[in-house]
Amino acid sequence: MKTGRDDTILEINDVSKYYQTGRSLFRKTEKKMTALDKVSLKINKGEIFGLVGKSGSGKSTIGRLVLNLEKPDSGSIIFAETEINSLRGKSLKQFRQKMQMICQDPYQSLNPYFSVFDTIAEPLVIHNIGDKKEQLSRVQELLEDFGLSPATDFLDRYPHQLSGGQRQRVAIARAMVLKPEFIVADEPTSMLDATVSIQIYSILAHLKKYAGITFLFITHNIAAARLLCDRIAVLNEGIVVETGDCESIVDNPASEYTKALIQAQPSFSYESA
Amino acid sequence: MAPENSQNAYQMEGLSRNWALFIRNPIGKTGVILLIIFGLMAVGSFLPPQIDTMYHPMTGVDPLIANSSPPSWKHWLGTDYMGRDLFSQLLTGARIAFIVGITSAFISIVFGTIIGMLAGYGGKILDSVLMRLADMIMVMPTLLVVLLLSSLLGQLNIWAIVLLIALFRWPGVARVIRSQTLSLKERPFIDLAKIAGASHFRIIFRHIAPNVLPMALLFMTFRVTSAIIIEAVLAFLGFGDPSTVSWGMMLQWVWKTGHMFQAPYWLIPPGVCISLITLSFYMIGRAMEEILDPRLRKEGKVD
Repeated sequence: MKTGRDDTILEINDVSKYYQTGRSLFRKTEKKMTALDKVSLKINKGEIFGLVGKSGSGKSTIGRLVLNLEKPDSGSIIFAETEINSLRGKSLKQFRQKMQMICQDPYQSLNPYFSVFDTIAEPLVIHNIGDKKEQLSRVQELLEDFGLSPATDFLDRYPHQLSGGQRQRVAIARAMVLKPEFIVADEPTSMLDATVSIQIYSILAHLKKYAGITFLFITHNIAAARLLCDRIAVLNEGIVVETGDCESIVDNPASEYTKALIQAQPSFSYESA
Repeated sequence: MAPENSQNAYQMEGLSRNWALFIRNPIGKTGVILLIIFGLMAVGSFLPPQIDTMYHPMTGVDPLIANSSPPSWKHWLGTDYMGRDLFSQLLTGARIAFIVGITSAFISIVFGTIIGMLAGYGGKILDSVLMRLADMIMVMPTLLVVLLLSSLLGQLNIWAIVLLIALFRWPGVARVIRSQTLSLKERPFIDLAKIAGASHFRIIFRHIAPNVLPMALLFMTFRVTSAIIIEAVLAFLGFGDPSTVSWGMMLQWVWKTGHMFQAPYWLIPPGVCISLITLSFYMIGRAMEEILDPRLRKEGKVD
């Protein structure tokens, strides 16, 4: 794959984010917690970009900023050649069609009062795509694609009638329903057991390969990143420690922090650590 | 279609399980039985005037009786000071209690839930404005203000009373719904709805509303109780709707015509009814609370 300016789908330039803590009536000075400190990243079209770091390192914050759920305090995020923080109204809605998310906890990411059909079809309803019949066939097709078959058995189920792996598949189907260009996967397997995790990884790899989707894959699990990602960035306390080719970083970590992350990985099923 | 059936079957299963839990609870059971009795009374209130016009609760007067008379075969609970049938009035009172209680509770729940969701979801300025408004109304003595208003506006009809009660009873609901909304809006499925491009309106009414609805329904039963009591007090103090009979009004007539200690058959039934109907709604609310909050269920009693 050629790399060049044209291939960049997402560009994060000097993005900083602070959270205010300890503000009170009597103490006027605010404590600022730095979540991200001048982070710059470039993600190419069609790759799985891993964001690795321990909890609290700011990796989920990057995900939220990229999805335009929160605004950065400084810096800019450019997706498909548009600055996303200035998007309003119609252009924001168009942006929403292009970028989706898969959440960490499939028990929390589905509305308990929405059936599987309602959950997956909701983005179509919001963007007014297709009539009820077309939506139904699209949802069925997706369910079958992600191994929930026969689809008719699942359409009217509610989240509590599904297993963790099934829920995550529903969540992925929902993320895919608008045929997005970019998906933020925020620790999509941290709440699932190992065998189900592997299945989810293979779904993501499949989507990258055949649907051409670019992923921002957020994880604390460096083995999973190694398995799935083309390039990774290691994040510690809001600062990018190192970025680069996934294999070269895992095999020759430059920083102590990356080494520590790799050593923290149980090496039972992992050959090269 | 097969899946539709399975969904219905599932929902029926959930409903019947909750119903079983509810009815196994002695408090819930008593409440429901009492409520059924009052429901029958309210429905039955249409009957006596059909049998004979003298049984009409407001206009029917027994031509042979000119003052209050004790229970007899002709008038099961006796008659009031001008010969109107007390039993018929008691039945109509049940109907009025239901109308006042349920409609004003319903209106206050709708107000309270919408305002609570807006405050919780909107945050910051909207939250402060709505909650300070709620605080202001909450600290007002409801009865006093309603009394003042009704003396300013003249005789109020029953719907005006219903509306006034509802207007003063939403803040409590709004507070609870707001706090639920605050925790709900941090849940990932709300973020995912935003990412899918959902409008605020859609998030509030499609995602948050169903999740706060059980709590709102629970509050409704408690609001029914307070609405019935407020109406009874208003009527007893002479601010009721003069075109209908309510239990509070029956009590006012006993007192006003000086039968307080002469006619126990007139004084006791409406008093007992007011206590029992509020008790029944309260009991149902408590039993529902136990179903909604599994921590309140007694271990071993369930499943």
